[in-house]
Amino acid sequence: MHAEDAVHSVATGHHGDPGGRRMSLRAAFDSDLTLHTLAIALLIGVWWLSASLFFSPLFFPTPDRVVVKAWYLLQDGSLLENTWASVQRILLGFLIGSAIGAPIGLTMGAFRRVHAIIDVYVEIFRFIPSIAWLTPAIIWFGIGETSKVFIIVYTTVFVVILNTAVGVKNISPDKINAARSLGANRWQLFMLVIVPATVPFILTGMRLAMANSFTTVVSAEMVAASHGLGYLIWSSRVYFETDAIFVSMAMLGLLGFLADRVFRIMTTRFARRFHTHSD
Amino acid sequence: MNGEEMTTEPWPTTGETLIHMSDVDFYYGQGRRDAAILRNFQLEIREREIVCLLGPSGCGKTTALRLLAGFEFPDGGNVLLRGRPITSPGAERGVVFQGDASLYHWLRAIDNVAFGLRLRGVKRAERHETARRLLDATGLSGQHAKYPTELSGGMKQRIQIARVLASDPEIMLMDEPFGALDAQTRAELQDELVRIWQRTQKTILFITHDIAEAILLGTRVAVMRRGPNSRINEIVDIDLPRPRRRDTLEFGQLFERINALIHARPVDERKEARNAR
Repeated sequence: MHAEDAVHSVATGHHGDPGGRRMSLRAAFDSDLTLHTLAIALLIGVWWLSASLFFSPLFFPTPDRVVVKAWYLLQDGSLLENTWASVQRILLGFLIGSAIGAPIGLTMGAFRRVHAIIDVYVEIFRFIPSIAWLTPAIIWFGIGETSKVFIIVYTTVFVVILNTAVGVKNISPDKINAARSLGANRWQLFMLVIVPATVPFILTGMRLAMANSFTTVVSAEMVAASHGLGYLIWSSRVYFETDAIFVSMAMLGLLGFLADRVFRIMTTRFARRFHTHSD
Repeated sequence: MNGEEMTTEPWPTTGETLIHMSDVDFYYGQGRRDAAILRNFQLEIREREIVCLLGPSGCGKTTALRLLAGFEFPDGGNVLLRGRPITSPGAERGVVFQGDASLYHWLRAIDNVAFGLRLRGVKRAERHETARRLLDATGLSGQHAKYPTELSGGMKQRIQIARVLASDPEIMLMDEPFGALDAQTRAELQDELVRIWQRTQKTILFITHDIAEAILLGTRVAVMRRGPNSRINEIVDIDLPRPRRRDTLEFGQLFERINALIHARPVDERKEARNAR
């Protein structure tokens, strides 16, 4: 990424440009932040334009209508209430799923027999969409939070397991052999080499699982919930409140973006040393 | 670390037999008898020697080391340490790997070096003290708190050496440890290793495909033949005075002799091929 940037700036002649002011303007224009802002502006522009082509805002509301609706939903408290309901479910399910998935993936990666057995389950169950479990989950756990959290756990667990197991397989044999020849027993090998060496893969698995959690929570809330962004999307349908649907969608996009950012910042802050490369 | 020390410490003298590999066979995979990596491999290493195992790539040098490390086991013959078969890896046989992948990149230099002591339950303060001393002794003072990714290739190999020394092993098994370094760093580390050997009197098995490196370091150089069915063709005693220099006549003569040995087709090879059938 940095090397690319370097090549890029050489190619566009950033460094040798004698026109100081022009160069700094161009550099400012070329910064990531500016480009990101431009991209968002473009998105809103295209949205506005295409929405205006429809004769009725009921089909596709323009951004200004969505903003007004968002303001309205903020004021009556329902936007925050529903957002918070979804966030809670995602967070809980995601954390429980990761806490279950990582140890399973680690043991799978470390022990051939465990891998051979669990792999069969993983390869079957990961293809059953979590939302298919919703009805059984409601029958087993009731209509409350448990059933929704259960299917988020379900959607998280396999992604984390797979990534973690791959991580263990990716550990250099030299790391293992070095520990063995320094006198490590099986438990020490597991705790002091295999686990720390796999941390980056566990975190990648969790990041991927986070995206799945968002999809799942909305599906679950659309089918069986009285709160949450999925519920808001589904109930707005009844009154043809397309603008409220778009508010919820924008909120999901924003939440996902923020969650990913927070996750990445936490990863670099707390888990930086577990990565082979320091960036 | 300086020239003075060189003259005050005596050069290690050869002692009793430490390692004995006799009639060792090692096959690819599930015993295809016609494709052995090692066949009838013999090697004896005595205390305080530096034996350089020299040969072209693919000749089974690393396999011989892995058998001694206890990472692999022979399909025939014996691999003995002080007369007892090697049945597993162990801290009395420290391994220095060629690449830096063997270092723990989530641990600081000091904790990498102290890793073996940690495994043995040595208290933190005590193991750090040992590690600090070894880092200083291997030319890494001031680098204690750095992570391996922050260090150069040469420094990383120094950490590996210090990490092995922390366990006070009977023998250091070094698998082309300087093979990936630039010429300058490589020369520095070769000198450093000789100083460490002089100071610690460790037995060393050093694997290399670099003839000059073998002559520079070894008390003996074991020249392997090309694989498959590889073994040691001849062992050359290196009695050049230390510190050794590359630009002497004796060095050049040894180089030529060993070079010829590597390319020589062993006399018994045709007979051997007949027997294998």
